[in-house]
Amino acid sequence: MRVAIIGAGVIGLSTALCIHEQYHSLVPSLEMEVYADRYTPHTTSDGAAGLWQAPARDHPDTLWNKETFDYLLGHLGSPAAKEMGLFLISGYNLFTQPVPDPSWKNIVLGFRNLTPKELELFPGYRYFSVRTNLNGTFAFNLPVTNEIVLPRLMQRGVKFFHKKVESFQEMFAQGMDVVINCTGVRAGELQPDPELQPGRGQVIKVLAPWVKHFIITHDIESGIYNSPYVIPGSEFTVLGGIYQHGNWNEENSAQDHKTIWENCCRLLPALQKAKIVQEWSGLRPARPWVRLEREPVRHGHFQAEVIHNYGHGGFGITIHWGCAMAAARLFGSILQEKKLASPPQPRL
Amino acid sequence: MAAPKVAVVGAGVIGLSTALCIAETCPSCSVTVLSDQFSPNTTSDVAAGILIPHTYPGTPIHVQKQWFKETFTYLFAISNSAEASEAGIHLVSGWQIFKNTPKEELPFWSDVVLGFRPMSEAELQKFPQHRFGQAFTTLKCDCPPYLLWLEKRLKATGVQMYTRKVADLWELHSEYNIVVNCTGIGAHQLVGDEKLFPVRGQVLKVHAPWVKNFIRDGDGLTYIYPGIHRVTLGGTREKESWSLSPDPGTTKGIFDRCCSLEPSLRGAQDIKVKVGLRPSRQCVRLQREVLSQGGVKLPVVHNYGHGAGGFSVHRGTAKEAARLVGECIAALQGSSSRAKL
Repeated sequence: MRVAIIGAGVIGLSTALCIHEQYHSLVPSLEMEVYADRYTPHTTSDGAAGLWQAPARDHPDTLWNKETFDYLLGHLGSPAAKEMGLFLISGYNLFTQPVPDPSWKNIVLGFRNLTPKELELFPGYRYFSVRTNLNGTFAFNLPVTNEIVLPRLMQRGVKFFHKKVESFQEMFAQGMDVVINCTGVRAGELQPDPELQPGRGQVIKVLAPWVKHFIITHDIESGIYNSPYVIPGSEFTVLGGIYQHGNWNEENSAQDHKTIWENCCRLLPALQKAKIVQEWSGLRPARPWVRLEREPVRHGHFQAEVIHNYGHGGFGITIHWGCAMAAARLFGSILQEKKLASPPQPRL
Repeated sequence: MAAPKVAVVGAGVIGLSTALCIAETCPSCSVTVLSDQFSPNTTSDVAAGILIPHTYPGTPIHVQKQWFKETFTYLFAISNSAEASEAGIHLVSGWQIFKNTPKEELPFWSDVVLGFRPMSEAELQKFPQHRFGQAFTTLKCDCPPYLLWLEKRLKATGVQMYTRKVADLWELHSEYNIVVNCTGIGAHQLVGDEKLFPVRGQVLKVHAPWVKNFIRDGDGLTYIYPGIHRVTLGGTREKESWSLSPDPGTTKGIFDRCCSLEPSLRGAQDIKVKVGLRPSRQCVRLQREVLSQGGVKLPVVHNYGHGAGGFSVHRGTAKEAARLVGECIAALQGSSSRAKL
């Protein structure tokens, strides 16, 4: 059973890990290969702030978000946590208008609304009937995580290829039985998908170790991610607040830099003395909902399968493990159909 | 009296903040700071500087609360300004956890810190040996940055600072009109205060920048306070111990206790060990005294004995000390105008 995963961002690598962990002992013939034209630190994931925070909207995705949170929470106390750069962080979500409590309020730890005194910290956000919240959620270091997961997969015998895959057929011609499509924003190059659009973002990474909370502002008018945010990592703090739908440009924009810097310093005056370390732009793989499904593909006389797992927008980190497990379940159903693995028998 | 000359003895957080308050409230005063130690060699430099008050048995609660509130408000404003990083002041959220439910579920300061609330069951699961907890957001004053920032502010207002060991407050009577005694544990010898005793604290300052939340055991013995560059791990409370030498067994004990609360600390790097002697007393000695010899008087304002709570109340006690200095000046002016009659 030969499996190829296309894409080596957080989605590709976590899907590879999840499937390998679950099936390598059940399927002795399992051979897994990862193909990607970009690896850490050049993937979209590498620019992510790495904060677990689900979008406010209520969505079937919600379960995948919870599964990811619980998975990360379970790893918190482990030695792996430090390697992964995984840690708990508290912070603020600020709104200019009243909003209902988010669907994930019981997933994170200690969700609550801010007190009037705390709102004094954020003057622009108090003149409306504002609700803001503070929660213990996760941040982790994506480049570090990708660097950890990749060697782990290699240790498990997964092979990596630095190569741009031009078509699914190319993979099947090489003898792959299943291809898992984790190509993120450029999935359209393998199979046109008008629902998938780039959501261009730009961030400034600074040194500001005195900032211990994340701050995410929300402005219904500007739209999601287009309002300033400050997210501390274990070493650097990410400043952002740019979302440009349909913009494929991966170059840094001076105008966007100015917008981010001014807005974030206004939000948090303590940032004014922060040292700028890096500027980065990336394309969020935006889609109305994640494409996570099987697609049978005929290749000559032969029935092959593609499992799509892309379109995670700006919340790949938040949802990655839930999606990896869902992809693994789809993989399991493929195996069952091919009678290569039987489901666990009930103990009698 | 034109330009009263005020000497502040001591350059820890109490001495420097008191000098600053005096300079602010009495612009005509000439203020000088005298100390045998300056940052980074003061007791304050060892402290984590977290704003969680210590309760003084001998001081009315409403007074302690006022001191804490003034300090919190003052630092909160700095934390929200461009000066925050230079001053070393930042907000930090976290948990105070208890193995047994405390007698007092709502400490007197619970409405001064931000967002004080009991911890949820889910949050408590992180601490299986603890049954109750409180979550809140407070401020941390990193030392040395805070002391260096105070020194900078003092120099800007024209306050002079000199390294000098004062053996006896009286030796200052010919050069200064008023002396402010902020000598912390030094007051034991300097003014012979038998009610002042050291409570030895050993801490570890480690590099663990992924730790963003504080954790404190309600017994006050184990705590994790993330600062700007280092996390302070503590601690000990050894009454009457005067030893400033780090104890290796204690270091291991502190490290193990903190790792049991926050396992990721096992990966902490560059562990530095420090010892400080908390200048402890039933109540802070914050009062006037007049020393006199041979008809010559020297007004003294004492401001020492803050024990484990120096950072938490420093601004409040500094303001009160400055007010007492004002009273001393008024008394001196009163007696000098009487002398003119």
